Amino acid sequence: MTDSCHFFRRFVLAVIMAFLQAFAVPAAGQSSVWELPGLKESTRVVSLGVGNVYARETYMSELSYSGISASFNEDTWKCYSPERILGYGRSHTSVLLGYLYNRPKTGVLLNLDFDYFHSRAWRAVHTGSSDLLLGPAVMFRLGGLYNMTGSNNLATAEGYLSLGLCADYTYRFRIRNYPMALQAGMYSLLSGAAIAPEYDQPYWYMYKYGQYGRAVHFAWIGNCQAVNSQVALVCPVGRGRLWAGCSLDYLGNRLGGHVTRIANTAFTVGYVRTFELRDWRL
Amino acid sequence: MNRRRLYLTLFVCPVILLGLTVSCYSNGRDVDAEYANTPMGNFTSLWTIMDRNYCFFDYKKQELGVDWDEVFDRYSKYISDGMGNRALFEVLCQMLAELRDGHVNLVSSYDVGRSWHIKSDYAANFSEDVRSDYLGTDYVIAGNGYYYRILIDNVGYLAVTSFESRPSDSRLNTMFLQMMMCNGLIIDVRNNGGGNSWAAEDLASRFTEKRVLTGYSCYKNGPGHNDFSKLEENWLEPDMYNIRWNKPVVVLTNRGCYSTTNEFVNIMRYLPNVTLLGDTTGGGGGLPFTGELPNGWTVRFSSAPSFDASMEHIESGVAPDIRLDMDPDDIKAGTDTYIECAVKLINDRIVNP
Repeated sequence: MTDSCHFFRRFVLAVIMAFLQAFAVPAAGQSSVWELPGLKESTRVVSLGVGNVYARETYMSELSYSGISASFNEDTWKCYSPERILGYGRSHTSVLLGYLYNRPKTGVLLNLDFDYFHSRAWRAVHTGSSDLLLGPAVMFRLGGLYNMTGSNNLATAEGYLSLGLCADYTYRFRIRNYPMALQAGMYSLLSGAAIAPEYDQPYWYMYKYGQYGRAVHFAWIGNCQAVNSQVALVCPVGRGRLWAGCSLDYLGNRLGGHVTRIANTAFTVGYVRTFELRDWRL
Repeated sequence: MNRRRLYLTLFVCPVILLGLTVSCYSNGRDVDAEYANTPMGNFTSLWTIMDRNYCFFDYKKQELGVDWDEVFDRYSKYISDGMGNRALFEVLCQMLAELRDGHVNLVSSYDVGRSWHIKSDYAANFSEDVRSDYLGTDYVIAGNGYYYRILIDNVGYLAVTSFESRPSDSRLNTMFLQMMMCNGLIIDVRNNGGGNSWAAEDLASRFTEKRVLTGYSCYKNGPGHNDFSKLEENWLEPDMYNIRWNKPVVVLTNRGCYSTTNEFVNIMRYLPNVTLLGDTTGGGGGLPFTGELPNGWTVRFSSAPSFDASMEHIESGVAPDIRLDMDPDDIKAGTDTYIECAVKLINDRIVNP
């Protein structure tokens, strides 16, 4: 290991420890900072993200843009019935806004995306230090790229409604007296329907002639990849819990004769709340 | 048991991730190559964008003898690594000018390349000063680009200089009410370079009582020069909620009628009581779209072609019912040959049918 790498590790550790000394107060009797919710319980994470977004698409011509993004995310874990096979629920909602520009800095794209994923999960692993949820998911995404320089192709839409897989892993550990948890989750599309114009199909024509059907394609993991994943550290802060992590949101497809790729990486910061559900229905 | 599940999962998850990675890679591997931001990269990018998306290659080959592959060979000789942006812009514009399409433009930060042969190679048949004399100073502004008045021969005159926007329904109703007693209406769309097609259709819908087939449209559904979707019918619906005009209409046209105005003239020719007077329109029968080169310049090109009700291209313009040229002596005398002829046509039809 090089000196600079060693120094960097020590620096990061020092920053974390300084943060914990300043803010982290483990609650009385609190042995864990992250557990799967019990029956009639829900755990919710609300976070804000700031990051980088890259978009490439070949509708009409090759466009390759990158820029900054801001997102609002909400992740929820629920327990429907721990005894059942798919007894847990895991959902993710996010709204993302990106501002992108091309390499010569002559064009601007705006990216707006709404994602909603919901999974019914099986607790595949449950040990003292880790939990693993696996299960099928319903994934929905709708968004668009608004091209500030286009003439009749001002915007392109992207989105899908599909079935997918969800994996959610938690690892609990301690740093000195502070309970911590590493939380990682991933949704991945398997198969469904995705929207993309048929080659040069004008969006105006979809409206004028009702050609929406031609813009809907069968999507599967071979022609459309959609992955939403995040890794976060959960640590106690005051009486609450802090969520700090990073996320990767990727959509890539080759539908309708052209290619779309949108990747967003972001640092997210939020808080974790666990509460009881009042109107509970099994 | 749980530990076995954990090991199993730790094995399965990387396999799924690996599969995803391979899938993403294979998806991206054969996508269109990104071109370098070099003179040759930009040249090839522009040529390819046009080759894959421009909709009139076969028609231009038939009409003008343009062979796009031959164009590449001819113009690529002028491209060198050391050439400057201005020189590159010049060569690219000349290459695009081969298509003689007013919808084809190359836009850089300092200039807009264009091909306006469709207008400049023909007689103007229009004088702004003379038209101003006819409109006078007390004309009514129905909207941005819509000016009207009643001429002394009791004929309504509407000059539409742009279809970028449309007047409100109430303003058009007011116009028709004011012209209620007129013998007919002249719609002067000369030198109108176009705008939004819905604005043109909106105006045209005031001149029919029944649904009329006015043409067809399609779009490119593949990279080949002949890859097109099936033709969609374009129907003009009468505006049933507002005032419609049933008296004679004469539409004045010249080579400056382009794009949406070309479409408007094409629609009007299928309507009852409408006569087209003047010169063939400039054309522009393709819906223009925009692409981008690696250096950030944008190129506009026709991508979705339109046809008339006989399934003929309107890219080269719409011929008038009555061909007429402006008389230079009339222009000198401050008289508009077109308007005078149109007034006579309308009054002859009404007064001496």
